Amino acid sequence: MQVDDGRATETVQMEMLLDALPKDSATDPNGLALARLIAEISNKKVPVHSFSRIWTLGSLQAKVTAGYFAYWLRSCFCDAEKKQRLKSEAHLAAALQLFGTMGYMRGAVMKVGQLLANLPEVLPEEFAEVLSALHFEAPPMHYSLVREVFLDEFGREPEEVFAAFDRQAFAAASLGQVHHARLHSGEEVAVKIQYPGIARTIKADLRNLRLLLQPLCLTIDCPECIYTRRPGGCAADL
Amino acid sequence: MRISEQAKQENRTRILEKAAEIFAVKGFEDTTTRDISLASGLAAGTLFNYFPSKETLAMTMVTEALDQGREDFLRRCTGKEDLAEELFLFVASGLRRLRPLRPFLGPVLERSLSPFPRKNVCQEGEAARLGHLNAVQKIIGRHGFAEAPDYVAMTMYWSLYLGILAYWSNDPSPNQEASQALIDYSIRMFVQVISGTGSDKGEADAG
Repeated sequence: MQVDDGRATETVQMEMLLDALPKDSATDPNGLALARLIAEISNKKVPVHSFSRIWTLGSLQAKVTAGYFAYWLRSCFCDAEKKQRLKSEAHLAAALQLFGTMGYMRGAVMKVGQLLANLPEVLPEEFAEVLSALHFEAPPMHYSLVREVFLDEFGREPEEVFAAFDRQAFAAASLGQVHHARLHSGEEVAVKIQYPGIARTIKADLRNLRLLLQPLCLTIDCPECIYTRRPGGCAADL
Repeated sequence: MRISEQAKQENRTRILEKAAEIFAVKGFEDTTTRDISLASGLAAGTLFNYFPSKETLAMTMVTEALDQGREDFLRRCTGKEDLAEELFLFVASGLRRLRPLRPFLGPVLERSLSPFPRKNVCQEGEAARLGHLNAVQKIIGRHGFAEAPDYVAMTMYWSLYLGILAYWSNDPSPNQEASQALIDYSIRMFVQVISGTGSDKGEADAG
């Protein structure tokens, strides 16, 4: 059984991604590796529950640590030039791991990735370069899903709400995607549509963050503990 | 006493409406055919002239909703959708029409659409299954497949669809958005399998 449709769509998606991705990298001049990675994560279901998200982050940490440990072992037995090359490779591998996981998890975690991409002076060059692609992720929501979101929110199709509505999103990132549209008054507008379930991923991330910060409560200087230990809590300060 | 065809249709419609109301309040399991007959203003035995069992009655509601969903899908389909998108639209349109029945749908589907061998096959359920699969085959046929998907592929699709229905009927997320993600993911997976993009990927990469 053969089909051209699926492959044609995949090829179009890949061409779109290649156009959108940065290509000035020394290690991936065509942006092909990143485009494949993005196409792969676009087809995955976003994890929503706290446990699955923290498990994914934990696995990422283990993989990155293992990568750097391997680099450290190998660098003990080579000259300075090769050591530099190995270091660059280790950074790139870690950055790709980070990119793959952040793109897959979306929501607040992906926002952190975008923030890190804007700090080239803090992070190794490879990280900033790879993570900057998080700004250009391909639209993971197809138009049929967009129509369902509209029906749920407005009870009407996008074409009924607007005079004209572009099927194809012109930008997509961590929390949603943006479409060109025209109001019935003739005014051109950009419509940002939040991915279904993204609000729950953010809540799950904040819950996990709170959980990770719990050990801070054991220290006396923790501001939250000071408030809770005072009679009346925060209200006593006001 | 013989009653006219129009009166029969009116009775049938009233039974379906009242049954939906009672199922929503008492649940499918706790509702009896007697409850439905009384609410519809009919004698206890008269209900069976219209529907042979409670399951058939409930499944008739499901079939009618799915038929309306199919009409919605045909109206909404623009012809610009790729295969995964069109299948998504088809499934989502059906679920949207089933939404009012969601509070009591779980046990109905379990009894009428169960894939396990059963002594008494619900005819309405079987008709709904065949109607749905027929529509899916037509959609697939429109997207460049040289031959119709085989029995294995359609069985796999039906298993995924039943999984979606089971999850959706109990999905607590707002607007069942978690189910939408599940539909999207399941359909992409199905399309990848039948189009062979998953298995050919390695060869393509090697080439």
